[in-house]
Amino acid sequence: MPHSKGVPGLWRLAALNLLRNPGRSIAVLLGVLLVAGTAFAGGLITLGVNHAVETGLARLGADLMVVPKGSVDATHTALVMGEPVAFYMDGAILGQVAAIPGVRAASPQIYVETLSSSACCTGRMMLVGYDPESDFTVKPWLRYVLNRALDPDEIIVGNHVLGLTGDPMKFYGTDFRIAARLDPTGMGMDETVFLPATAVWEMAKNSVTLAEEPLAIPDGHVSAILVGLNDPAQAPEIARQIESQISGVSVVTAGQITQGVSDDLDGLMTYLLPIIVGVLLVVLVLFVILFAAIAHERSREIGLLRALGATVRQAIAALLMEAAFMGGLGGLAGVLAGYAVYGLFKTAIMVSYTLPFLYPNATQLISLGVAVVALAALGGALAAAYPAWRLTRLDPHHAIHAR
Amino acid sequence: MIELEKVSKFYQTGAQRVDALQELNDQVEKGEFLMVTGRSGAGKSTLLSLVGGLIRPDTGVVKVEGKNLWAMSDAERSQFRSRHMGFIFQFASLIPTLSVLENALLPSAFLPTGQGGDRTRAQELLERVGLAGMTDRLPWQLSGGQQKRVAVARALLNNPALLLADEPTADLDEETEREIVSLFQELNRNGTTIIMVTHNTDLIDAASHHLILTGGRVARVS
Repeated sequence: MPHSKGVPGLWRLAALNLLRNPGRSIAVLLGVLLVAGTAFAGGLITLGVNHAVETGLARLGADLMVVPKGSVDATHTALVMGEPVAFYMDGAILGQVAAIPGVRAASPQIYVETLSSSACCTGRMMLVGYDPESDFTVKPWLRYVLNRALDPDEIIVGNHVLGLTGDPMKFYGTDFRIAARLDPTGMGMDETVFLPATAVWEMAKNSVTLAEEPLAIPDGHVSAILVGLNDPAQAPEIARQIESQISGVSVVTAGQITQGVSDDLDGLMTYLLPIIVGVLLVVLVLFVILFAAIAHERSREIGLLRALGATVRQAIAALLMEAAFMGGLGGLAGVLAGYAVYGLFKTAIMVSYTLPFLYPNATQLISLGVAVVALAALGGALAAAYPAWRLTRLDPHHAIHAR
Repeated sequence: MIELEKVSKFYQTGAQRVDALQELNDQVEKGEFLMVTGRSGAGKSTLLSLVGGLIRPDTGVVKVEGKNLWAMSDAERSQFRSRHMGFIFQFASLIPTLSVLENALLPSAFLPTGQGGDRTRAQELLERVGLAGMTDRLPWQLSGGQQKRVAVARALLNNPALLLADEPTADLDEETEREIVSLFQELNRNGTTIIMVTHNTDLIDAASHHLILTGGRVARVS
């Protein structure tokens, strides 16, 4: 409806109508806010978790991880949440794994769980010692943050580890310096410290004299073997081969990590979805009843607009715009509220459900917000469609003379 | 200007059929000021709505400016109404959330830009009905008479050739009633065709023609 300056448009009419009964408008807005807020928070968590898994798996860089039998859950927790773990298996397994057809690269890693005692360590965290010779997972992204080999006393820290570049850290009595910090992944790697395996062995040797509680790693043992495949699609098949040919090991695939996170996310959504659907149904019914009442009380006004030249479409649009406005406004408030709730409870949710999280980028976040607001507006308009249509079936004469 | 050919309209209330208008034949010439009187339920408002295309006749044809209103599509009829007709109703027919000026501008909202009355015309009309300086007020800040004057200004915004007024002076004091009727006379002298429904037989002399309805039929024309 094009119009010149000062002529009220349907949107202005719709917006002003929200002020007619502020109490009623606020009640409906709160209902929409609840649905939109929960949906936005749920969407944000899902996006963040997926983003974290994608980034984390890309950072991991391996198609398979061979770990000691019975360590799969601990590996999952370490990879996803950064919970320190330490388990060991015979290093000779490396040769057996490398010999399996289809394996392109295999590199050992050694895991150390540090202690929170100040006499021992800077804090409780997970150290990952990698083999610079065979490594194909740490070095590629190391190049981005530090384009040189690490000195014997240098470490690389995950994004969430406290300390600045150059700051000292102490593990089992050995002093280290932070050489660089990695970009965030949202996964356990953010809580992890990386250093060459030789430095780990040296630290273990020195801990006997330097640390209150020495670090004991069985000679010639490793914690995990990271495996790169010629064809990543063969991961499940090769994992089965490794488990059947090498005793005492389990294989963790990228798919298992993704599935594990997905299961945890489903666990969270099991609680969120019924809330969203339940409140959505209540709000939709509320909208239908509300707009049936509004249509009834505005019948004279709609008749008047028709007498002044509004077409049936414009008369319906006037009501639908009001509903869309109410829905959209509630949706916008819901997005802001959902964002606030997410900010307040993010850590609690992620820890409770052992979910990784990497903040979605601005485009994803804005798209999600716009989608929630648009859906709320559309839902409002749809709920008002039937009452609006019924009203316009009444001819203007009867609408105007309705009591 | 207006032709009514065997126009009938009935309403069904439950099992009861009410004949609001029965086989009405009439013509209103351009420039006429027709006053329609009759008792409650005589069909006065129905007649006005039929002429304004606000209700479809059950039988017969309603033509305005030679055009059968019910041969048009809804959009065409709405545009026709907006361009050629102005309505004034008995009830306070202002949108409560819009200012006086916005209410007066409302008929332009349904016409393409530049085809309806603009802000300047609305302000002139409001001035003409004695509401200069009140354009930013909201309807609840006006008296009943002032609200009726806004409705008059609004009806005239698009410079309609036909003004349809349903009890425009009901509930108004005598002075305001006199002002509105004299405004109608002035509009009529300037060429506007007016059909006005009223209960007040004292106003009949203001019009050029008088039609009395009884039980949905024309009882007398003078």
